[in-house]
Amino acid sequence: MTRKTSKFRIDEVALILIVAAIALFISLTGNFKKQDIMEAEKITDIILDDHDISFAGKGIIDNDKLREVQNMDYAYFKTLLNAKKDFCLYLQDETGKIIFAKGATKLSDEASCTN
Amino acid sequence: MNCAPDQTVGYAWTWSPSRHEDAGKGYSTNSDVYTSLFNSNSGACTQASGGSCYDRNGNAVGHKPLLTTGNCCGDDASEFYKPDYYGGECTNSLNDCVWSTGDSQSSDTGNAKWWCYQHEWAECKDTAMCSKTGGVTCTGLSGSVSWTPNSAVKTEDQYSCSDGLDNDCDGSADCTDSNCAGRPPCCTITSRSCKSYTKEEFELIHRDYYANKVTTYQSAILSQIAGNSYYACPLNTGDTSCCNDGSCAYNGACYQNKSRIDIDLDGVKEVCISSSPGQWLDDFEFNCGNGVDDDFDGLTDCKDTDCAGSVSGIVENQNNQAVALVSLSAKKGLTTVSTTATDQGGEYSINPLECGTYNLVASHSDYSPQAKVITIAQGINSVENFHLLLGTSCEPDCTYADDNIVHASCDGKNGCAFYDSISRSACDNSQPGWIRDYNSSHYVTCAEGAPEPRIEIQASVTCDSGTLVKVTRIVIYNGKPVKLVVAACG
Repeated sequence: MTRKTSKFRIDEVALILIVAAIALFISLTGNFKKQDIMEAEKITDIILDDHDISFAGKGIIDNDKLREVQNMDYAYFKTLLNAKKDFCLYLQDETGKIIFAKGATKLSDEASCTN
Repeated sequence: MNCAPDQTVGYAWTWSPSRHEDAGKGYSTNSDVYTSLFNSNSGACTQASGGSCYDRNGNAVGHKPLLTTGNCCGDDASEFYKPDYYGGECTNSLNDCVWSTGDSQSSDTGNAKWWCYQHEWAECKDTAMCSKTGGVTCTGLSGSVSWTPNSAVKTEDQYSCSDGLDNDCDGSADCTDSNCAGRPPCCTITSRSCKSYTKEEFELIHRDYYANKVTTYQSAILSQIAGNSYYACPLNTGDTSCCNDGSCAYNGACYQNKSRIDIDLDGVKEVCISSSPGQWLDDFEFNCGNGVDDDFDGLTDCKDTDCAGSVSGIVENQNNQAVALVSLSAKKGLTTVSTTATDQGGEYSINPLECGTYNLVASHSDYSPQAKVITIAQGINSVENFHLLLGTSCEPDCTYADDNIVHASCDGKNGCAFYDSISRSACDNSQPGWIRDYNSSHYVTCAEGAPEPRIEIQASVTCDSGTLVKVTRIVIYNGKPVKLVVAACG
């Protein structure tokens, strides 16, 4: 009787631990994902907003400012955006052609992002 | 020699004895008769009274010549003895007359007082006024009537319109004679007055004088200023004239109503307004906003050119260079009131221009037109300068100078060159650098170069580690929607 009961408890604990581990993993993964999304959205908002570094205020690209960004050092650009993580931003026309790209080179194996 | 009895029966001679003879029937051999009476000398006719003699045509005539053919009047054929009040004369015409001095005078001649007609002397005196004899009329002023050839009789007004006589013997005396119409006392005595102006009005009327210091009119204009009052003409309250009703007088002369003449030679015409308080006023619309036709010329306020002002200025481009041949049009609504063009120095002037508000438009084929709202005031020159921007002149990038729009019409001008007509059509009204579809496989960057093939490139952003997150927004780039992608790694 005692043996039978003990075995059941071990399995339950294991199951609980497994479930907890899975829940923790999902939770941590979700948080990371959420943080990444927030980072990308923050950068996007700054670019589109009325900000010093913005080059697409009101949704219209300012070529002069775009040119400034193009010539700007990525690290400095990253600082201005107050970005915590590396990023790559680019403009893509209706054909999929990359018109402009700026960001961490390591993020793009097509060398689209340049710093 | 015995003298025969009178052979000219029927003529009423006024001498005593009443007889005269001819045709060889001598009158007398008395030496007194021969030497005193037969004394015609063809000299100036000054006998009796009235001065020189004349015929009925007004031509001067002399005495009859002396007859010396015999020593007894009438002893030759065609000799006639003619008596007068004092003596006799031997004449060669029965109709001739003899002066009181004995000088003979041919018929239809005489002087102012006496006229020989059909061997009779007729005297011209007041009681004989208007008697007519042999082409002359006894006429003139009372006490000084005279024989006057009918053709030389003057009109009634040249004698007198107030003496109660029919001086010109036309049947009408004084004011009943049409010749006296408008003459004193057959007229209205009109006195002259000059309209009084304010100092401002006066200076406005004579603005040319005050602006340009025209000395020519200085004296005349100054004479119109009496103390602190300003008049249309120099004051002269005693100046009257006999004019008809509805007239004005100036310096004794009459002027019809609405007459316009520079009577005082001040450079500004005066107009006679007999119905106005001031019979003379300057022909000038001195108030352009009172709704009154001040100078009675039918044009009120701004419609009168007196109210005109002017506008002038200079037209330059963005480089401060004068622009010639710029059209300047003063418009009221859609109506062009006046237009001019700049000269080689870029200067223009519209003068005169009726007072009022205008749209002044400066236009030139190479520049964008400009318009200004201007207000023209009486006698004032409004200065309006323009700085035109190159407008329809094409730039190398196929835009106009003052816009950033690609214009198909610039193709081939000033370095602008579209690749072809498809490119030109695709890029029309785009902006430089914008991408436009050339065809299904190519695009063109406006308005530069040849079409380029579409390249299908998929953006590839990867993360060495962590999660790749992409945020996408649609933005406008060079006139076309594109995707803005922000990729970040976790």
